[in-house]
Amino acid sequence: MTAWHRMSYPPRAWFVVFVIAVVLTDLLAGALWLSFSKVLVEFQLKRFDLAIGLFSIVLCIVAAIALGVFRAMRCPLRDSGYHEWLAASPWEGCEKTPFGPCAPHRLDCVPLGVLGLICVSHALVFGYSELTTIILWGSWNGRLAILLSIALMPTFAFLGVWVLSITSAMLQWRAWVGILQSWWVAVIVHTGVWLGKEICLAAIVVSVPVLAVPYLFWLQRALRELPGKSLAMPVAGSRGTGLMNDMGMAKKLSPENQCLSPSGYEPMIVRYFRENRTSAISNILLLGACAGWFPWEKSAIPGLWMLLMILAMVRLLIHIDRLHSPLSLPARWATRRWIIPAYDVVFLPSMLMIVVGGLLLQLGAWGLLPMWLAVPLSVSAACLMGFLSGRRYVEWSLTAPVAYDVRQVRK
Amino acid sequence: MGISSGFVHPSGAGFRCGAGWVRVWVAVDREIRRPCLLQLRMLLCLSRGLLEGPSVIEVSGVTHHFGVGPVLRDVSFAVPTGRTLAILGPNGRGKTTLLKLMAGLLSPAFGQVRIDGVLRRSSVEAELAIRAKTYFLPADAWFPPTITGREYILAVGETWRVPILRLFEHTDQLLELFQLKDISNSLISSYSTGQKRKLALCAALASEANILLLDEPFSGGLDPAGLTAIRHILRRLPRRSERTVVLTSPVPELIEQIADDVLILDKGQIQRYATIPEIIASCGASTFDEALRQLIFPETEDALVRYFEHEVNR
Repeated sequence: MTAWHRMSYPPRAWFVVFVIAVVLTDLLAGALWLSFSKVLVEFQLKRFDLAIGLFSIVLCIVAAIALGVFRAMRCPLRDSGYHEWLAASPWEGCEKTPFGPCAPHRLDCVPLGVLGLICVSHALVFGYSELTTIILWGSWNGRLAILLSIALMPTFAFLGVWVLSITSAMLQWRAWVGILQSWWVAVIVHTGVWLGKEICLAAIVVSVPVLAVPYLFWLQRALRELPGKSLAMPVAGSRGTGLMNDMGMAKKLSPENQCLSPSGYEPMIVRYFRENRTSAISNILLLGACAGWFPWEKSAIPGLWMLLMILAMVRLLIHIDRLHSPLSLPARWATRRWIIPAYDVVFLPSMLMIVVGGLLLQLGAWGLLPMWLAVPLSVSAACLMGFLSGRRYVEWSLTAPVAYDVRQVRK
Repeated sequence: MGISSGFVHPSGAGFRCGAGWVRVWVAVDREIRRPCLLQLRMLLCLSRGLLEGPSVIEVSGVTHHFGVGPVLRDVSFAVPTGRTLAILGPNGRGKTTLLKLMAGLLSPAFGQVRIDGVLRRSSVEAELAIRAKTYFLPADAWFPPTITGREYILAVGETWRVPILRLFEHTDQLLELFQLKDISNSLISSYSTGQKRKLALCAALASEANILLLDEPFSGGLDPAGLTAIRHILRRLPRRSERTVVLTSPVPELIEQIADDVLILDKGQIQRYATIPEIIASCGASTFDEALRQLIFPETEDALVRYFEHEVNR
């Protein structure tokens, strides 16, 4: 292993702790077997030394998970400090990352292979009686399959943690990765429903390395883009050269200052969807299509209604978080000004989300539309209403009679 | 000859001529550096000046604001090669922002930053070439927590493409100089604040970048040994290896020992850009510290007097 590769591993003390833990576990299991084996066999008691011995396998899996976590921590897509450091360095995306690898590397075969060997050896030593039947009477394929699956357990744990951890980072860069996840979950759900839980579990296990391959590819692409890309949104009013995005992040002086900014202030998510409208619409449509994959029953309709409500509320809160109504509800009652059109226009998209989405759901509930069509239509329509209807955030924030949140400004 | 824009420097002035910058060294009175008369004066300078190569850092007409608060307004200056420039000013007046703009971590709302005559962020290749020449050390430097100090310095040097044998040797020298050798193989997460600061300075020096942009290099819990080391290095580095250093620091004594030029920022604009003797002379002060108090914190002394008057009355 190279020094560069070792940088992405946990500190040496962790390895020492791991080795000590495995050795102590083995010693304890061995001592128990030597002391009580006759008693156990005589009274046909459950072999607790076996459980202790197999605990080493659990330790190996935990160690592999730690390796996966440390590897994911090395990803500059996840760490803004690392990203800023890289942004001021001459590092190019096609080069190796300075502080160790951030993706699975061929040299990982060494520690994962060692962990796999420990697993297999412990399974054979401590689980000999349980494995005897398979090893003696099973086919060659069966023996190979069980030993291989035990040996690969640390590798699957390592890849699984890395895939899960990197997913959150990838979602910032490629939102459609989330859609891919939804599709995959749909496949696994259907597998479980139609073919049984064992097949479903196997599909989950197989999905880990299957997903790791495209993730490696996308990570490489994202890293190549990284030197000229920012995790932060561009500074309001900044003039980019058009060749590279702005690295700067707007300093948050106060919500009031941001809201008063001449170029207007937009929450990050609103700006993202406005600037990537095509991508947003296609993602929403894909999300709807994914929803159609699931075997929806009519009993799910109350839950889906709740989901619609939550989506509408989130949309509303994003907009009115900092820009409050000039008149509170009691003030509206007192002044008999129930509607302030310039401000209240912000409520319309949320109401549309509930009405349109809910109507499509109800069509499914009444049997006028099949559920596999009603649910995706409802989800897609609600999301589209949320993002596309209503006035633009900046336009509304600069023209509506809004009141700034005094408590936030005081902070 | 089309002159499009200009810059000022304590020891001269410059103007944009065709594709490059021409700097004109002058030995005239301070009036010549008034930005409002710059273009006209520069033509005068040309007749009696000495033509030189381009400055290594050129900041022209930079304006930047966060939200509605303008931080920098039409800031223009140039830093010649091999000089040490100290940026001074009250807190929150744009010193770090100016450094970040020079480092390319921020893009100016208006204006330009050029490094070695190349516009920052003009193309991917140009930007990467600029980054290879520049090292920016922020006040709160980022460290990967699970690697050792030595590994960190080596990784930085490798990223800046320092030849590996020289890097090993230089790393050892730096670790010894900053008294980090004993803990160089310990994890960075176990370092104290001052040790981390020393490590960050070691990494900056190990990068061998031609331009060092150092934000508060003397702060962050440096011990006297560390302060002495970095002070001597920064004093000798520009002269011996033609490197350019731009730093911010609130400590006048250190600035006086290190810096060739001082740029004082106030309310987002350049209040003064001159050499230290010129600043002392212009204020009629006896020391640099006194001159700075007059220039940057004139109200502080009055406030102190008022405060102690109240103390006596109580």
